[in-house]
Amino acid sequence: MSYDWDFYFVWKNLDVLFRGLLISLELTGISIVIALPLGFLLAVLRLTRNVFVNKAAAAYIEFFRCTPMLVQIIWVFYCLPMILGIQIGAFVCGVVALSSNTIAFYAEAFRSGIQAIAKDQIDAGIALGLSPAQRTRYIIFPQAFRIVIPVLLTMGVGLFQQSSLVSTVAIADLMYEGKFLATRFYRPLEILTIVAVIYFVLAFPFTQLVRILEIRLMKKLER
Amino acid sequence: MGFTFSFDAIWNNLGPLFSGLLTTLQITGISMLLGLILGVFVAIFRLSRNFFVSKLTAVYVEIFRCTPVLVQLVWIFYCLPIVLGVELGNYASSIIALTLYVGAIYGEAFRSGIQGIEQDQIDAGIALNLSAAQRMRYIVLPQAVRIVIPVLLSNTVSLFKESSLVSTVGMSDLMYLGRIISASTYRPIEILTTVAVIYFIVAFPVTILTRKIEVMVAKKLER
Repeated sequence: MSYDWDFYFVWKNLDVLFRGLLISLELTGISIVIALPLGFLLAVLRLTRNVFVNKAAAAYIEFFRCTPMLVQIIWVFYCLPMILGIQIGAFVCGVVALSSNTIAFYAEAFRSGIQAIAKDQIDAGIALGLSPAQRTRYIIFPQAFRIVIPVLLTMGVGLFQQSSLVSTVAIADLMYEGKFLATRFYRPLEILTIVAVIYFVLAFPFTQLVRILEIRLMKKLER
Repeated sequence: MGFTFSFDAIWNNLGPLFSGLLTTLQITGISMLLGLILGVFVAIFRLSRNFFVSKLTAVYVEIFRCTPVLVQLVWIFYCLPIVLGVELGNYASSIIALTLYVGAIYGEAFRSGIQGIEQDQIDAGIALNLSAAQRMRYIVLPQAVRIVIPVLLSNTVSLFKESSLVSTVGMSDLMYLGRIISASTYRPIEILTTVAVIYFIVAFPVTILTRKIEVMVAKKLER
């Protein structure tokens, strides 16, 4: 192979990639912050005895889980402004699409967490005269949250990776800047490899952390 | 809001969208078959006692699990031809990218399945004088596959959804045709919603099936 590697353009444009990375991280962070409370709320709705409410929640969850993220992003980008009749910035579209999707996945995670809580705990809450809202706030949420932290983290890493799809609707994230530089300098090999390395370096430690948390949680539950 | 929903726009374009779905299913199917074969080898190599083989496989798995599929696809489309010095069309690039991605994911599923088999079973194989390859073929794999079928199915649904990314390298799959048609007819709401519904109609029954099989496997293991 006679390819001459040349990282000069990568070094010269690291600031561009870094700016893209910040956008990726912002999209991921904002979407997680939105999806945590709403995902929990949706899980609670999914578990209510009201058939209409829990079916509606199930429909939302299944629809977002069974369609590609890319379709969701493009749908929000092209259709939402038309339906609402207002201009929406690309970044906001990205946040709306990513957080709507994450809400569905977090809701399923929280649901499994809530269902894993022993019935005794809730009975104890009833015996103490706590209202349903108080039981949710003080008994169910703290415990469900602790159980599902590894799952939420894994999904967070997944979201960070999926956020690269916003590059297709011209949001200047890491992937977008990478593709832009790659075509501009005709150096796709160096630049796209660096982009992959950046995603990897950020995602990999979290997957290891998840593994450690999972082992710890297993040990706690065994006791 | 002066928007009127046009069912004609959907009806008139169902043919092209359907041909896009066939491309999507074809790409998913081929990547799935190649990925299953790759996945079995990944699991076996990953569990190999040879330190070098096992670590090298782990590196492959982690790289493909910790970088976005979009980055993998774009890298293979733009960079692999430079590295190999051969022409790769977008079809070959798509298949290679999705196969390598899903092979890593399937590999992890098979590994957990193989590790879930009791040592007694393997000891029994040794007592029966079966070779290591025979034990793998007749004892370990048939049982491992049965345990991991639900995981493999849900991974395959993910693969089906991720296959929408091939639209970004110009493959005329369902997503690509949806975008083209919605732009040319100025009917994004009708067309993109239809695209989402088509993905849903394919993916949803499989997730239901996965859940049923999960319950069945769980019951069998309890016995």
